[in-house]
Amino acid sequence: MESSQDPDKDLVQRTQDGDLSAFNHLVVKYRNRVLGVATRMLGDRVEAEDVAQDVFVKAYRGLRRFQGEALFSTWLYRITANSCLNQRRRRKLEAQTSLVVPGAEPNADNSGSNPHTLLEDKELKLLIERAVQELPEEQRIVLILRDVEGLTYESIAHALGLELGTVRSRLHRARMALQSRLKNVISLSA
Amino acid sequence: MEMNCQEIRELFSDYLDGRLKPAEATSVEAHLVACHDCRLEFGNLKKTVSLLGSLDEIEASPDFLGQVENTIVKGRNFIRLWAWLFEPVRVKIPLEITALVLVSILAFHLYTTPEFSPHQSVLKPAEEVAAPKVLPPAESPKSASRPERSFRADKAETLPSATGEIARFKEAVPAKEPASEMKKASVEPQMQEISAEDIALAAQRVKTLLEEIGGRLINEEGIPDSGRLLTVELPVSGRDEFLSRIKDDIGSRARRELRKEGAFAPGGRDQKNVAAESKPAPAKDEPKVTLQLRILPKK
Repeated sequence: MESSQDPDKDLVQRTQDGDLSAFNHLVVKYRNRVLGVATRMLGDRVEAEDVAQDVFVKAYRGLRRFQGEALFSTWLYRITANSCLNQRRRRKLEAQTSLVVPGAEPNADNSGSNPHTLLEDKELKLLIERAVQELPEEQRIVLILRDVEGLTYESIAHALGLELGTVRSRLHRARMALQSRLKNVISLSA
Repeated sequence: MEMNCQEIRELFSDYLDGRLKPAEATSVEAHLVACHDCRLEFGNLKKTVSLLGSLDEIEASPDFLGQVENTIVKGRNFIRLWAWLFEPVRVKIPLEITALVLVSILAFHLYTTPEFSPHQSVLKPAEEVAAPKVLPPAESPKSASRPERSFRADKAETLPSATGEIARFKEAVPAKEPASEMKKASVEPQMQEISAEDIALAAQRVKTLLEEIGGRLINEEGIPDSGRLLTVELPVSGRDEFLSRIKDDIGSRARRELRKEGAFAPGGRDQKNVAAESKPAPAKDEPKVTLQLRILPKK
């Protein structure tokens, strides 16, 4: 079982014993990853931060029932994914939000309209973020967890409650769709 | 079996992640060597995935941890209370439901039991206690000439045969008399019969004599033939004097001791419960005797 190799096992155990400082270490360790998933899923930085904080509060309250059947990180991503999907349902947005990354706004004029100019790395990343936002949410969450967060197929399947084959097919479709959207951009950045 | 470009591209994602079987991976590699378009397509896919992995980490605000901690600390007390009340759920919830049902049953039982019902144990005696306030005093001349409906709480315990209502009343209202006054020399009332022309006047005279001797009227009720039955209590030492004066004052020609009864059983249709205060208080330890006087119209 993968939980036997959980690097967070000790911190989780101390938190379950009532040590709030141990949980703070877990928050510090995972806050940016949880926030990253939430931001890319919701497309709103402020809203994502609220959701991310709520994810950790839920995790703390539910940690007493956490039996270690999966890695703590996988369990945390599961809470994150569910919270984001619930938040999206709550506000009834359907992949029409614009991603706002702190310190920068995407520049539409540079999104491949000038084929003779090599895209700056920062601009390229903004275009990728926007392309990710345009994916259907069930493909997007799989793509983010796999290609951005680096989770295994098995962890993704556990976090999202999906069959392994479903994860593979959704990931494939997400990658192909993203590649299709970014075809011109990628060739320019090469 | 050789696959076409579309079939090969369906395997790109798994091939990139190293999740293909060796035979499938070999087929893909062979196809990529031979097919320029598929090689370009796979290159773009690989580049896309690589770019996704290089996206910048989104940093949380500086007060992120503080906000989480504050929320947790605020909710801690509630969580502790919840856990104390309901956890473990499988144990406490059934116990609490059982306790709730038992308490409800007990409350319903108490409410429907007469001894505990507020309608029967509190209100009724209160009405009975209040009743004498609106009636004229026992020594009033009018009281002898018309029916009375009164009940003196402090005399109730002297009735030889108490009804259920009186018994409850005695529970609700403590007796005012000290225990020493409860002593009675005679518990079996003697029946005396008196004839008189004016029943009401005779009854009033009995009451007056009773007061003078230091006795008291326990009960007064009507009896057939327009007569009246008085139950009185008086000191043993005053018994003969009382009977003698009744004979003299009322002019009874016949005073006979008719019978002795083991129990007094009031129950006439127009029963009246009357008690009178005895002004000259007898010695507390002196024994008392109970008499029943039947006043009948003179024929």
